[in-house]
Amino acid sequence: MQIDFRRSGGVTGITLKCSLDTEQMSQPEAELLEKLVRQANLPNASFDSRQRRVDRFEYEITVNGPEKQQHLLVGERELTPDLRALFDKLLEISRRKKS
Amino acid sequence: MCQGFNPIHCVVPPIVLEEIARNGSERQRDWALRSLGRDSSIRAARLQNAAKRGRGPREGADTLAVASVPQPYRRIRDAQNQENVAGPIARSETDPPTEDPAVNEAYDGLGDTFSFFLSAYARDSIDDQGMPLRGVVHFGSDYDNAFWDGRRMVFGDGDNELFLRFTLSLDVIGHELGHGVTEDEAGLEYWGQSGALNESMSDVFGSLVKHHKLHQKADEADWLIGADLLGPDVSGEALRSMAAPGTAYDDGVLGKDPQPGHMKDYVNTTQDNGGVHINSGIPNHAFYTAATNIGGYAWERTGLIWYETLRDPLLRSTETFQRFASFTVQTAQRLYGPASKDVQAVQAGWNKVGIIV
Repeated sequence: MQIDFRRSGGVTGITLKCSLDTEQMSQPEAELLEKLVRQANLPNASFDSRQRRVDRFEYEITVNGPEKQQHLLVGERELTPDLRALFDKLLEISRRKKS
Repeated sequence: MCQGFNPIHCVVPPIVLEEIARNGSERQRDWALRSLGRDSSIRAARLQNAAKRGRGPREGADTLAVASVPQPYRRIRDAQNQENVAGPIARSETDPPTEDPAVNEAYDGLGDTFSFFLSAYARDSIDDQGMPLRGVVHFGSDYDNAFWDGRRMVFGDGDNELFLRFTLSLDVIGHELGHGVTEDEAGLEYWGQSGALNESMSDVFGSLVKHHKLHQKADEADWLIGADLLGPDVSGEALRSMAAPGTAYDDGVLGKDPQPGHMKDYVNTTQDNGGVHINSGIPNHAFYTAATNIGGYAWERTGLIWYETLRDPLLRSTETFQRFASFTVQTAQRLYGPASKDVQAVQAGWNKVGIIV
Protein backbone atom coordinates (compact mmCIF):
# COMPACT_ATOMS: atom_id res chain seq x y z
CA MET A 1 0.00 0.00 0.00
CA GLN A 2 1.37 3.37 -1.04
CA ILE A 3 0.30 6.45 0.86
CA ASP A 4 0.89 10.10 -0.02
CA PHE A 5 -0.10 12.47 2.75
CA ARG A 6 0.20 16.14 3.46
CA ARG A 7 -1.16 18.64 5.96
CA SER A 8 -1.05 22.28 4.88
CA GLY A 9 -2.54 25.58 6.01
CA GLY A 10 -2.70 26.75 9.60
CA VAL A 11 -1.29 30.10 10.61
CA THR A 12 2.20 28.71 10.07
CA GLY A 13 1.43 27.92 6.43
CA ILE A 14 3.95 25.10 6.73
CA THR A 15 3.24 21.78 5.04
CA LEU A 16 4.09 18.49 6.73
CA LYS A 17 4.09 15.56 4.34
CA CYS A 18 5.21 12.01 3.79
CA SER A 19 5.16 9.42 1.02
CA LEU A 20 5.52 5.81 2.03
CA ASP A 21 5.14 2.25 0.92
CA THR A 22 3.98 -0.07 3.67
CA GLU A 23 5.93 -2.91 2.07
CA GLN A 24 9.12 -1.05 2.94
CA MET A 25 8.18 -0.46 6.55
CA SER A 26 8.52 -2.61 9.63
CA GLN A 27 5.73 -5.13 9.87
CA PRO A 28 4.14 -3.75 13.03
CA GLU A 29 4.02 -0.22 11.67
CA ALA A 30 2.80 -1.39 8.26
CA GLU A 31 0.00 -3.43 9.83
CA LEU A 32 -1.01 -0.49 12.00
CA LEU A 33 -1.18 1.86 9.03
CA GLU A 34 -3.16 -0.54 6.89
CA LYS A 35 -5.61 -1.03 9.73
CA LEU A 36 -5.98 2.72 10.23
CA VAL A 37 -6.59 3.20 6.49
CA ARG A 38 -9.32 0.55 6.50
CA GLN A 39 -10.99 2.08 9.55
CA ALA A 40 -10.85 5.57 8.07
CA ASN A 41 -13.22 4.46 5.32
CA LEU A 42 -11.76 6.70 2.65
CA PRO A 43 -13.91 7.38 -0.41
CA ASN A 44 -13.24 5.35 -3.51
CA ALA A 45 -13.31 8.41 -5.75
CA SER A 46 -11.56 11.72 -5.28
CA PHE A 47 -13.50 13.85 -2.85
CA ASP A 48 -12.96 17.41 -1.72
CA SER A 49 -14.86 18.28 1.41
CA ARG A 50 -12.83 21.30 2.43
CA GLN A 51 -14.49 24.44 3.63
CA ARG A 52 -12.35 27.52 3.37
CA ARG A 53 -11.70 28.39 6.98
CA VAL A 54 -9.10 30.95 7.91
CA ASP A 55 -5.84 29.49 9.23
CA ARG A 56 -7.23 25.99 9.75
CA PHE A 57 -5.40 22.90 8.61
CA GLU A 58 -6.33 20.98 5.48
CA TYR A 59 -5.36 17.40 4.78
CA GLU A 60 -4.85 15.48 1.56
CA ILE A 61 -4.33 11.74 1.34
CA THR A 62 -3.96 9.40 -1.62
CA VAL A 63 -3.86 5.66 -1.05
CA ASN A 64 -2.87 3.28 -3.82
CA GLY A 65 -3.78 -0.22 -2.73
CA PRO A 66 -3.75 -3.52 -4.60
CA GLU A 67 -7.30 -3.03 -5.88
CA LYS A 68 -8.14 0.66 -5.88
CA GLN A 69 -7.04 4.21 -5.41
CA GLN A 70 -8.55 6.44 -2.79
CA HIS A 71 -8.17 10.22 -2.52
CA LEU A 72 -9.53 12.71 -0.02
CA LEU A 73 -9.16 16.41 0.69
CA VAL A 74 -10.62 17.45 4.02
CA GLY A 75 -10.49 20.33 6.52
CA GLU A 76 -9.62 19.79 10.15
CA ARG A 77 -13.11 20.56 11.33
CA GLU A 78 -14.53 17.81 9.15
CA LEU A 79 -12.33 15.01 10.53
CA THR A 80 -13.98 11.89 11.86
CA PRO A 81 -12.27 10.17 14.83
CA ASP A 82 -10.97 7.45 12.49
CA LEU A 83 -9.55 9.97 10.04
CA ARG A 84 -7.92 11.81 12.92
CA ALA A 85 -6.29 8.60 14.16
CA LEU A 86 -4.90 7.87 10.69
CA PHE A 87 -3.66 11.45 10.18
CA ASP A 88 -2.06 11.60 13.65
CA LYS A 89 0.00 8.53 12.74
CA LEU A 90 0.97 9.99 9.38
CA LEU A 91 1.91 13.30 11.02
CA GLU A 92 4.17 11.42 13.41
CA ILE A 93 5.93 9.91 10.39
CA SER A 94 6.05 13.31 8.66
CA ARG A 95 7.90 14.82 11.62
CA ARG A 96 10.79 12.41 11.30
CA LYS A 97 13.82 14.17 9.89
CA LYS A 98 14.47 13.41 6.25
CA SER A 99 17.87 11.83 5.68
CA MET B 1 -22.19 50.74 6.13
CA CYS B 2 -24.19 50.56 9.37
CA GLN B 3 -23.29 47.38 11.20
CA GLY B 4 -24.16 48.30 14.78
CA PHE B 5 -26.66 46.28 16.79
CA ASN B 6 -28.77 49.41 17.10
CA PRO B 7 -29.54 50.89 13.67
CA ILE B 8 -30.21 54.29 15.27
CA HIS B 9 -26.45 54.62 15.78
CA CYS B 10 -26.00 55.21 12.10
CA VAL B 11 -28.65 57.91 11.42
CA VAL B 12 -29.04 59.96 14.63
CA PRO B 13 -27.21 63.30 14.39
CA PRO B 14 -24.90 64.33 17.26
CA ILE B 15 -27.22 67.02 18.58
CA VAL B 16 -29.94 64.44 19.13
CA LEU B 17 -27.45 62.00 20.67
CA GLU B 18 -26.52 64.74 23.15
CA GLU B 19 -30.16 65.14 24.18
CA ILE B 20 -30.48 61.39 24.66
CA ALA B 21 -27.25 61.42 26.69
CA ARG B 22 -28.78 64.03 29.03
CA ASN B 23 -32.33 62.77 29.31
CA GLY B 24 -32.48 59.11 28.30
CA SER B 25 -32.60 55.96 30.38
CA GLU B 26 -29.29 54.53 31.59
CA ARG B 27 -29.11 52.13 28.65
CA GLN B 28 -29.97 54.92 26.19
CA ARG B 29 -27.38 57.25 27.76
CA ASP B 30 -24.72 54.51 27.50
CA TRP B 31 -25.12 53.90 23.78
CA ALA B 32 -25.59 57.58 22.97
CA LEU B 33 -22.42 58.47 24.87
CA ARG B 34 -20.62 55.57 23.23
CA SER B 35 -21.52 56.94 19.83
CA LEU B 36 -20.49 60.47 20.77
CA GLY B 37 -17.40 59.32 22.59
CA ARG B 38 -15.87 57.61 19.58
CA ASP B 39 -13.67 60.59 18.85
CA SER B 40 -12.69 60.81 22.56
CA SER B 41 -13.75 64.45 22.79
CA ILE B 42 -13.82 66.37 26.07
CA ARG B 43 -17.33 67.41 25.10
CA ALA B 44 -18.53 63.80 25.32
CA ALA B 45 -16.80 63.38 28.67
CA ARG B 46 -18.56 66.45 30.04
CA LEU B 47 -21.89 65.10 28.84
CA GLN B 48 -21.13 61.87 30.64
CA ASN B 49 -20.34 63.80 33.79
CA ALA B 50 -23.62 65.73 33.46
CA ALA B 51 -25.57 62.54 32.76
CA LYS B 52 -24.22 60.75 35.79
CA ARG B 53 -24.23 63.63 38.24
CA GLY B 54 -27.40 65.47 37.23
CA ARG B 55 -27.50 69.09 36.13
CA GLY B 56 -25.83 70.52 39.24
CA PRO B 57 -22.41 72.14 39.28
CA ARG B 58 -19.57 69.84 38.36
CA GLU B 59 -16.98 69.33 41.03
CA GLY B 60 -13.36 68.88 40.14
CA ALA B 61 -11.86 67.92 36.80
CA ASP B 62 -13.52 65.75 34.13
CA THR B 63 -12.51 62.55 35.85
CA LEU B 64 -14.97 60.65 33.69
CA ALA B 65 -13.35 61.86 30.50
CA VAL B 66 -11.55 58.54 30.22
CA ALA B 67 -14.89 56.73 30.26
CA SER B 68 -15.58 58.02 26.76
CA VAL B 69 -12.45 56.33 25.42
CA PRO B 70 -13.17 52.82 24.17
CA GLN B 71 -11.81 50.09 26.40
CA PRO B 72 -11.11 46.44 25.64
CA TYR B 73 -13.30 43.76 27.13
CA ARG B 74 -11.25 40.57 27.30
CA ARG B 75 -12.17 37.08 28.43
CA ILE B 76 -9.75 34.16 28.27
CA ARG B 77 -10.99 30.57 28.58
CA ASP B 78 -8.97 27.42 29.17
CA ALA B 79 -9.73 24.53 26.81
CA GLN B 80 -7.74 22.20 29.11
CA ASN B 81 -6.16 20.45 26.11
CA GLN B 82 -9.52 19.49 24.64
CA GLU B 83 -10.86 20.84 21.35
CA ASN B 84 -13.45 22.82 23.26
CA VAL B 85 -13.82 26.59 23.05
CA ALA B 86 -16.28 26.75 25.98
CA GLY B 87 -13.92 25.76 28.77
CA PRO B 88 -13.78 27.53 32.14
CA ILE B 89 -12.98 31.24 32.28
CA ALA B 90 -9.35 31.75 33.25
CA ARG B 91 -9.14 35.52 33.23
CA SER B 92 -11.58 38.36 32.59
CA GLU B 93 -11.08 42.06 31.99
CA THR B 94 -9.25 43.79 34.89
CA ASP B 95 -8.52 40.46 36.61
CA PRO B 96 -4.92 40.26 37.86
CA PRO B 97 -2.42 37.99 36.09
CA THR B 98 -2.81 34.27 36.73
CA GLU B 99 -0.11 31.66 37.24
CA ASP B 100 -0.62 30.40 33.69
CA PRO B 101 1.72 32.26 31.30
CA ALA B 102 -0.40 31.29 28.27
CA VAL B 103 -3.45 32.96 29.81
CA ASN B 104 -1.49 36.12 30.60
CA GLU B 105 0.16 36.24 27.18
CA ALA B 106 -3.20 35.89 25.44
CA TYR B 107 -4.71 38.58 27.67
CA ASP B 108 -1.85 40.99 27.07
CA GLY B 109 -1.66 40.27 23.33
CA LEU B 110 -5.36 40.90 22.82
CA GLY B 111 -4.98 44.13 24.77
CA ASP B 112 -1.95 45.25 22.76
CA THR B 113 -3.82 44.58 19.52
CA PHE B 114 -6.85 46.51 20.75
CA SER B 115 -4.61 49.41 21.78
CA PHE B 116 -2.90 49.41 18.41
CA PHE B 117 -6.09 49.63 16.36
CA LEU B 118 -7.55 52.29 18.67
CA SER B 119 -4.39 54.40 18.76
CA ALA B 120 -3.41 54.07 15.10
CA TYR B 121 -6.80 54.06 13.38
CA ALA B 122 -9.39 55.06 16.03
CA ARG B 123 -10.88 51.59 15.62
CA ASP B 124 -12.88 50.31 18.57
CA SER B 125 -12.02 46.60 18.59
CA ILE B 126 -12.31 44.11 15.72
CA ASP B 127 -15.64 45.35 14.42
CA ASP B 128 -15.20 49.02 15.37
CA GLN B 129 -18.20 48.51 17.62
CA GLY B 130 -16.40 47.40 20.79
CA MET B 131 -16.55 43.67 20.07
CA PRO B 132 -15.43 41.70 23.15
CA LEU B 133 -12.05 40.07 22.71
CA ARG B 134 -12.35 36.37 23.46
CA GLY B 135 -9.39 34.03 23.67
CA VAL B 136 -9.11 30.30 24.25
CA VAL B 137 -5.77 28.82 25.34
CA HIS B 138 -4.52 25.21 25.64
CA PHE B 139 -6.70 24.15 22.70
CA GLY B 140 -6.20 20.52 21.75
CA SER B 141 -3.17 18.37 22.46
CA ASP B 142 0.19 19.32 20.90
CA TYR B 143 -1.86 21.56 18.62
CA ASP B 144 0.60 23.58 16.56
CA ASN B 145 -1.71 26.29 15.37
CA ALA B 146 -3.73 29.38 16.29
CA PHE B 147 -6.80 30.71 14.51
CA TRP B 148 -9.63 33.23 14.55
CA ASP B 149 -12.98 31.46 14.30
CA GLY B 150 -15.13 34.52 13.69
CA ARG B 151 -15.79 35.14 17.38
CA ARG B 152 -12.62 34.30 19.26
CA MET B 153 -8.95 33.66 18.96
CA VAL B 154 -7.90 30.09 19.70
CA PHE B 155 -4.34 29.11 20.69
CA GLY B 156 -2.60 25.77 20.68
CA ASP B 157 0.35 24.91 22.90
CA GLY B 158 2.51 23.64 20.06
CA ASP B 159 4.38 20.36 20.29
CA ASN B 160 7.49 21.83 21.95
CA GLU B 161 9.63 20.38 19.20
CA LEU B 162 8.70 22.14 15.98
CA PHE B 163 6.58 24.87 17.58
CA LEU B 164 6.29 26.47 21.00
CA ARG B 165 3.03 27.75 22.45
CA PHE B 166 1.30 30.19 20.12
CA THR B 167 0.52 32.79 22.79
CA LEU B 168 4.23 33.68 22.74
CA SER B 169 3.94 35.53 19.44
CA LEU B 170 2.43 39.03 19.48
CA ASP B 171 2.55 39.26 15.68
CA VAL B 172 0.60 36.01 15.37
CA ILE B 173 -2.00 37.38 17.80
CA GLY B 174 -2.23 40.56 15.72
CA HIS B 175 -2.37 38.41 12.59
CA GLU B 176 -5.36 36.43 13.81
CA LEU B 177 -7.31 39.42 15.08
CA GLY B 178 -6.42 41.08 11.79
CA HIS B 179 -8.47 38.38 10.07
CA GLY B 180 -11.42 39.62 12.09
CA VAL B 181 -10.84 43.17 10.87
CA THR B 182 -10.55 42.02 7.25
CA GLU B 183 -13.69 39.90 7.64
CA ASP B 184 -15.50 42.96 9.02
CA GLU B 185 -14.32 45.31 6.28
CA ALA B 186 -13.54 43.84 2.84
CA GLY B 187 -14.41 40.19 3.49
CA LEU B 188 -11.61 39.07 1.16
CA GLU B 189 -12.47 35.55 0.02
CA TYR B 190 -10.10 32.92 1.39
CA TRP B 191 -8.92 31.48 -1.90
CA GLY B 192 -6.31 32.34 -4.52
CA GLN B 193 -5.20 35.96 -4.78
CA SER B 194 -7.96 37.44 -2.62
CA GLY B 195 -7.08 34.84 0.02
CA ALA B 196 -3.39 35.71 -0.22
CA LEU B 197 -4.34 39.39 0.21
CA ASN B 198 -6.38 38.37 3.26
CA GLU B 199 -3.30 36.60 4.66
CA SER B 200 -1.05 39.51 3.77
CA MET B 201 -3.30 42.02 5.52
CA SER B 202 -3.02 39.86 8.63
CA ASP B 203 0.78 39.72 8.38
CA VAL B 204 0.78 43.50 7.92
CA PHE B 205 -1.44 44.04 10.95
CA GLY B 206 0.51 41.53 13.02
CA SER B 207 3.78 43.27 12.18
CA LEU B 208 2.36 46.72 12.92
CA VAL B 209 1.01 45.59 16.29
CA LYS B 210 4.51 44.40 17.19
CA HIS B 211 6.20 47.55 15.86
CA HIS B 212 3.73 49.66 17.83
CA LYS B 213 4.37 47.71 21.03
CA LEU B 214 8.15 47.94 20.60
CA HIS B 215 8.11 51.55 19.29
CA GLN B 216 10.06 50.42 16.24
CA LYS B 217 10.33 52.37 13.02
CA ALA B 218 10.26 50.61 9.67
CA ASP B 219 14.04 50.40 9.42
CA GLU B 220 14.36 49.09 13.00
CA ALA B 221 11.87 46.21 12.74
CA ASP B 222 12.74 42.64 11.76
CA TRP B 223 9.62 42.17 9.58
CA LEU B 224 9.42 38.52 10.65
CA ILE B 225 6.19 36.67 11.41
CA GLY B 226 6.21 34.08 14.19
CA ALA B 227 9.88 34.38 15.16
CA ASP B 228 8.95 33.50 18.73
CA LEU B 229 7.30 30.22 17.82
CA LEU B 230 9.93 27.99 16.27
CA GLY B 231 11.22 25.14 18.43
CA PRO B 232 14.87 25.21 19.56
CA ASP B 233 16.07 22.64 17.03
CA VAL B 234 14.31 24.07 14.00
CA SER B 235 16.63 25.52 11.40
CA GLY B 236 15.05 28.88 10.71
CA GLU B 237 14.24 32.35 11.97
CA ALA B 238 10.47 32.59 11.67
CA LEU B 239 7.38 31.39 9.80
CA ARG B 240 7.66 34.14 7.19
CA SER B 241 9.78 37.13 6.29
CA MET B 242 8.17 40.21 4.75
CA ALA B 243 11.62 41.67 4.05
CA ALA B 244 12.90 38.56 2.27
CA PRO B 245 10.18 36.08 1.34
CA GLY B 246 11.48 32.55 0.98
CA THR B 247 14.28 32.86 3.55
CA ALA B 248 12.47 32.36 6.86
CA TYR B 249 13.41 28.68 7.33
CA ASP B 250 15.17 25.74 5.72
CA ASP B 251 14.71 22.71 7.90
CA GLY B 252 14.95 18.93 7.58
CA VAL B 253 11.35 18.44 8.77
CA LEU B 254 9.62 21.69 7.78
CA GLY B 255 11.29 21.94 4.40
CA LYS B 256 12.20 25.27 2.88
CA ASP B 257 10.18 28.49 3.10
CA PRO B 258 8.16 28.40 -0.16
CA GLN B 259 7.11 32.04 -0.28
CA PRO B 260 7.75 33.97 -3.51
CA GLY B 261 8.65 37.64 -3.45
CA HIS B 262 7.75 38.40 -7.08
CA MET B 263 4.89 37.67 -9.43
CA LYS B 264 7.18 35.70 -11.75
CA ASP B 265 7.43 33.09 -8.97
CA TYR B 266 3.69 33.04 -8.17
CA VAL B 267 2.73 29.53 -7.05
CA ASN B 268 -0.28 28.00 -8.79
CA THR B 269 -1.56 25.28 -6.49
CA THR B 270 -4.75 23.81 -5.10
CA GLN B 271 -3.13 23.25 -1.70
CA ASP B 272 -3.59 25.69 1.15
CA ASN B 273 -6.71 27.22 -0.41
CA GLY B 274 -4.78 28.04 -3.54
CA GLY B 275 -1.58 28.95 -1.72
CA VAL B 276 -2.87 31.77 0.46
CA HIS B 277 0.03 31.43 2.95
CA ILE B 278 2.50 31.03 0.09
CA ASN B 279 1.65 33.84 -2.33
CA SER B 280 1.02 36.31 0.50
CA GLY B 281 4.79 36.80 0.27
CA ILE B 282 4.24 39.01 -2.78
CA PRO B 283 1.93 41.67 -1.27
CA ASN B 284 3.89 41.34 2.00
CA HIS B 285 7.06 42.39 0.25
CA ALA B 286 5.27 45.22 -1.53
CA PHE B 287 4.16 46.59 1.84
CA TYR B 288 7.62 46.17 3.37
CA THR B 289 9.23 47.96 0.41
CA ALA B 290 6.77 50.84 0.51
CA ALA B 291 7.05 51.20 4.29
CA THR B 292 10.84 51.25 4.34
CA ASN B 293 10.88 53.76 1.49
CA ILE B 294 8.45 56.06 3.29
CA GLY B 295 10.23 55.60 6.62
CA GLY B 296 9.11 56.44 10.13
CA TYR B 297 6.61 54.28 11.97
CA ALA B 298 5.08 51.97 9.37
CA TRP B 299 1.58 52.15 10.80
CA GLU B 300 1.35 55.93 10.38
CA ARG B 301 1.42 56.35 6.60
CA THR B 302 1.92 53.02 4.78
CA GLY B 303 -0.25 51.18 7.29
CA LEU B 304 -2.92 53.86 7.00
CA ILE B 305 -2.89 53.54 3.20
CA TRP B 306 -3.38 49.78 3.43
CA TYR B 307 -5.99 50.08 6.18
CA GLU B 308 -8.02 52.69 4.32
CA THR B 309 -7.77 50.57 1.17
CA LEU B 310 -9.23 47.63 3.08
CA ARG B 311 -12.13 49.87 4.09
CA ASP B 312 -12.76 51.15 0.57
CA PRO B 313 -16.39 50.28 -0.27
CA LEU B 314 -15.40 49.62 -3.88
CA LEU B 315 -12.95 46.87 -2.92
CA ARG B 316 -14.41 43.50 -3.89
CA SER B 317 -14.20 40.33 -1.85
CA THR B 318 -12.60 38.59 -4.84
CA GLU B 319 -9.96 41.26 -5.45
CA THR B 320 -6.76 40.45 -7.33
CA PHE B 321 -3.25 41.65 -6.46
CA GLN B 322 -3.31 44.03 -9.44
CA ARG B 323 -6.57 45.68 -8.49
CA PHE B 324 -5.68 45.87 -4.82
CA ALA B 325 -2.41 47.54 -5.77
CA SER B 326 -4.30 50.09 -7.85
CA PHE B 327 -6.55 50.80 -4.90
CA THR B 328 -3.55 51.42 -2.63
CA VAL B 329 -2.22 53.99 -5.09
CA GLN B 330 -5.59 55.72 -5.26
CA THR B 331 -5.80 55.74 -1.46
CA ALA B 332 -2.30 57.21 -1.20
CA GLN B 333 -3.22 59.90 -3.74
CA ARG B 334 -6.34 60.74 -1.76
CA LEU B 335 -4.53 60.87 1.58
CA TYR B 336 -1.25 62.51 0.62
CA GLY B 337 -1.66 64.05 -2.83
CA PRO B 338 -1.08 62.70 -6.34
CA ALA B 339 2.59 63.77 -6.48
CA SER B 340 3.49 62.78 -2.92
CA LYS B 341 6.49 60.63 -2.03
CA ASP B 342 4.01 58.23 -0.45
CA VAL B 343 2.37 57.56 -3.82
CA GLN B 344 5.78 57.03 -5.39
CA ALA B 345 6.81 54.67 -2.60
CA VAL B 346 3.62 52.62 -2.93
CA GLN B 347 4.12 52.36 -6.68
CA ALA B 348 7.74 51.36 -6.17
CA GLY B 349 6.68 48.72 -3.65
CA TRP B 350 4.32 47.04 -6.08
CA ASN B 351 6.71 47.44 -9.00
CA LYS B 352 9.39 45.66 -6.96
CA VAL B 353 7.19 42.56 -6.81
CA GLY B 354 6.25 42.68 -10.47
CA ILE B 355 2.92 44.49 -10.27
CA ILE B 356 2.95 47.69 -12.28
CA VAL B 357 0.76 50.53 -11.00
